[in-house]
Amino acid sequence: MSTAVTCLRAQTPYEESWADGVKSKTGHSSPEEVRPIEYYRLQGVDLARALRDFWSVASIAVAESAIEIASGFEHMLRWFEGAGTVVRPYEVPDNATAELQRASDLDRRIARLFGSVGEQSFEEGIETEFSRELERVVRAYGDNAVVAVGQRIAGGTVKPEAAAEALRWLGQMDSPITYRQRLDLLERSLSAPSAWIRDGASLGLASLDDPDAMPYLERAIEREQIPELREDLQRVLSQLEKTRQCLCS
Amino acid sequence: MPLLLRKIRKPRWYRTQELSWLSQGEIPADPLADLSTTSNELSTWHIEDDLSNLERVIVAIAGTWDRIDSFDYALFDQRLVEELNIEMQQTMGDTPDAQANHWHRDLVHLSAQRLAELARAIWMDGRTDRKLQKEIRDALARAVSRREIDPNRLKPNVQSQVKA
Repeated sequence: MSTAVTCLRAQTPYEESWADGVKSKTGHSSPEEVRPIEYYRLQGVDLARALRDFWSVASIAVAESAIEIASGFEHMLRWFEGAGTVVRPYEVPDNATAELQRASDLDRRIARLFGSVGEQSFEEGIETEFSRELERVVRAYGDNAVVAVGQRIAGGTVKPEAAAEALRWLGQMDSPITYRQRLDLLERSLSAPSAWIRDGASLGLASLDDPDAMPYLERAIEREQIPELREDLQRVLSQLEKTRQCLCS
Repeated sequence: MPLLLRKIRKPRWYRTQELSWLSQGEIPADPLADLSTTSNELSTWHIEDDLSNLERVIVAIAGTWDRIDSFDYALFDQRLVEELNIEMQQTMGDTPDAQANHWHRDLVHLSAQRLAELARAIWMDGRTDRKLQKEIRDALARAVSRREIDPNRLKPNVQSQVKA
């Protein structure tokens, strides 16, 4: 079965960053095969909400994995437009099918990564097979790996302690090309329902030591209901404030 | 009265609204994960009551790690251990700081009941705290420059992080 692949580039009205997505379309698709947006909801993907929550990049990655035969591309296009999103189709890269395969491999590796956690407990400062594999995956897949990790965590199917461990290591990783994506994920994870995840995100941000994260931390401190965690968030904020002062002077 | 330090993960000790199911005087089970024993012994560290050796002990422990990280710990009064009739022995620690190794203490002959009582005592009367990764890195660098830590005993990643 031949597969035509179309890429889209979307800009949400809520942020200025661009999000890339790859959508495949089978040559023999018929209108009956178009999958409505409800299909994605049934897969646990609420794209509208994800976009509202600045998860646009992750949402498109989720869509990628959900669309094995993406005959609903036009529908997606209309939906993005309906959601107030500017959608601009652009040229199809020659290696798009290989890219889809690569995305599928990434999904499998991330699923295995979190699935392997079991009852494993993590200790500060100690590398584990989990942390080593996470680093390998990020080195191999770059931003897409960070997006996939964020998607898993946001999906709520990952043990909070494992999610926190992933966020801590993402903060410590030496990977300049994924820096912005990791920073974004850590900032967003400050709003996670799990205290473990919020804590892991704050530790990751402390490791990145980027004052850009300060507004996110300030909002997280205002929201935080657990006194000890609020203190820890404040501690990270103070560190970033000192860093900012050093950078300014 | 001197204190004892035990390395923990702070989120296990959070007092959250979700724990409203606990009966009066009960503590959650998760903190027990931070009191795992080997041969019925629990590794702790002696801390002076003025906290004068606190940083040195923390840095010594961090000196055994694969990478520099944040450090969560619980501090509790040695009196709590005495009140629970838990036996304490001075044993040498295994860190790159020869002096700090003398501050290592094992709580020995621990039954499950005593361990649970100790967890409860720490929950009720102890306190938890944290040093961030950057603080640990700076403190490690100071310890190396003061020759408190043997840099050759640090793992390669830690050595490079300290030099950075």
